Amino acid sequence: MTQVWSADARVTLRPSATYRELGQKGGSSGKWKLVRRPLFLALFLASMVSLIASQRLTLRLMITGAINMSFIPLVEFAGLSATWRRRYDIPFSRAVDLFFMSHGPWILWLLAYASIWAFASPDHAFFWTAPRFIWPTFIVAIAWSASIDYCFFREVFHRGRAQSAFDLCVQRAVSWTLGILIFGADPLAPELTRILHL
Amino acid sequence: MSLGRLISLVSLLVAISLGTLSDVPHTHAPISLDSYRVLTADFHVHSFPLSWGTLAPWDTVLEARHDGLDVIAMTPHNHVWVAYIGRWFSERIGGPTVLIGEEVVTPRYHLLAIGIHDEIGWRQSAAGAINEVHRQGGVAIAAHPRKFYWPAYDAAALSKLDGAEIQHPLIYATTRGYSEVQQFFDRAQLAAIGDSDYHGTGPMGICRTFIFAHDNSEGAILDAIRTHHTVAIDRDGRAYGDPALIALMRNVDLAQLNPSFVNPEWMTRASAACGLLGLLALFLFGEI
Repeated sequence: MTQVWSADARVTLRPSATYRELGQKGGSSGKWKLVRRPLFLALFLASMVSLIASQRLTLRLMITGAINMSFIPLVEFAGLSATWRRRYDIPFSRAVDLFFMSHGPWILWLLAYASIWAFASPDHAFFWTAPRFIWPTFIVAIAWSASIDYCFFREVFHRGRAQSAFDLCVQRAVSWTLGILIFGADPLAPELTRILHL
Repeated sequence: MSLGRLISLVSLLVAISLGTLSDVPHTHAPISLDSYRVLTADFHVHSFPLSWGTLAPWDTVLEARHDGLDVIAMTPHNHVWVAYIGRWFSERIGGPTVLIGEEVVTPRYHLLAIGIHDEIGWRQSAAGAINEVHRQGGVAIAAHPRKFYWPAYDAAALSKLDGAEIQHPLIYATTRGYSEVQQFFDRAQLAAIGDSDYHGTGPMGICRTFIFAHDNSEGAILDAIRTHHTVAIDRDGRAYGDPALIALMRNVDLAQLNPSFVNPEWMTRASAACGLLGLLALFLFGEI
């Protein structure tokens, strides 16, 4: 299995065992390690922007899509920084490299979502991406992704169960709050007012 | 280089080449019917950032042109400054016409304020917000008026409202949604509006409004909405709006005016297939 599948795919399917193996290996750190997987994530998100908007990959949408969507790797950086401890943990560049392997559930989810927009007619795409179909799959991706990151904190940062769960919450609180504010802050106040019946 | 990485890189190169080559705008010649110029418009368009849109304001304008729209209103949630960026860019590339707008998102209703210049506050009644839109010289359109928004549109608000979305992507997601926006439209004399509520998913203008104006200036477009000189047509050819204008459109080739439902050419399909294959291969076998 090690020979065929990428580390990202193995982390997605067997997070605990793979992170344990990768964490023990040590491996190099450095600038390239710090940026290679965040750059891949930006490239991937740029491709999704182009596919979902225009049903094709175009340089025009990919270039500006990469710039727009770069906020996602950046808020992930911020979330991880909030949980990383210089004295006890592996070098930050190595931590980033391993942490960014955990996006498998979102990559698979977005590939499926983009496939609908790329190949279904627009009216069918709106039908199949309606909240009643999308939300259950979205929740599965959230839970799957959280379980992988929990394993990251357990096996790479060697934290206890409670501390790993806490770090996961901190990482999500920082990165998701920043991400939602950048992507869609404006309707939040009225929507919260509606939900909370204020 | 591993076989997986090679496959993914070749697939992505092919995908980007085919996609970029096929990225040609859908254009149509200006259409005149009777004494009117018929314009294709989408009055409900969101951009990055802050409004759950994925495309930058300039890409949004380019995408509008690509999808054959003559007019768009950029309607960020509860602000207008992103719309000014879009209009600035559009003026430099020669169109489409970009109207400054806002989707006024409140706990009780969503309202499109089109042709305004300042932000409309969201902590007021629908009638109050519509008054403010009119004071700024704009028009007010009920956005996706599902049943749970109806109580906000009391008699005072309905009497002042200029238009309502009768065509919106939600009609393809739920039959109940289609029925509800139709019932709302029947409650008052309103301009028929088709909008895509664009957030970067699918083609812009999948639902669009045909504006019967005297020219493509902002004033002429807003006047056409005020006087209900609009038509919205769904995928199956059902038309809403002024019957006389619908009759005028009988001989118009709708596929030319709304290319959203025209099957993509092979290069677009191949670009998507190679792109998805390349990205999946890179994730599974790429060892990034």
